[in-house]
Amino acid sequence: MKIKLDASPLRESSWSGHLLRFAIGGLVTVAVGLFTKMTSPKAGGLLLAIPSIVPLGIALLARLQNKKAGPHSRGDRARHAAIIEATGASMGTLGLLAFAVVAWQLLARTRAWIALPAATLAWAAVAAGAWYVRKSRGSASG
Amino acid sequence: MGELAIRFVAGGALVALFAVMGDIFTPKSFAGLFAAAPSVALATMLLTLHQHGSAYVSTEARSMMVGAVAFTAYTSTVAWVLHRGRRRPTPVAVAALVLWGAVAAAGWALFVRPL
Repeated sequence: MKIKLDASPLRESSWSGHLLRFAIGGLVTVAVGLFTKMTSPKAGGLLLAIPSIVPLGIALLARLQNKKAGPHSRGDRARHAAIIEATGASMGTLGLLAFAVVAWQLLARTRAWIALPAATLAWAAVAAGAWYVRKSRGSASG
Repeated sequence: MGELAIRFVAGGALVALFAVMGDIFTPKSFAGLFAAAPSVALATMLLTLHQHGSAYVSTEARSMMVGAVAFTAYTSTVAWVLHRGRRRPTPVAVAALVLWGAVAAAGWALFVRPL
């Protein structure tokens, strides 16, 4: 299956949804900063991989899919979309682990402007690679 | 106060940016990858680097590995629970955050704290 860009879902999504994501992302980042300040980088680092935006993303997705669905497929369509979203996110979390490993190793050895882009590339490569392996085995849908 | 405002804007902007990227990619299973993008981590690390330096952020990244494993447990459980029964997605996604906390806490106690 080919990966494509399709801007049409942006027309279906609401501004309030984008603003909510912005607000929750901002609040979580502030909370992580404050928690790290009050405790230690060792404790605060745990929160750098908190699934802050996933519940909201699933809620917005379910609302949109229920709106699109006919009366007979309301709950089913939303649930199916949420399963696809969560399964994709699972592959993304493997990338997040790669991000953390690369950032941990490179920040101790080289400059940050090399380490953080390299960690972000590691996230993209591992997440996309995991998705591709799962897809080619035919166990993912969507 | 100024530092908190910068954190809020940087974190919110990166989360919203990755979410928009998730909206525009198909198939949707691929778009789901962006739900686990390192948005909060990047914003936090970029801002922390200026204040505390690379060694401090490297320590944060080491602990983040445990958080990432907890994140995998979280998303896998959400997908599994929804797949098994006719449950509503939003309550499942919210309730499973407890699992993320439990796995992260166990990882903290076993692997991070003794370091």
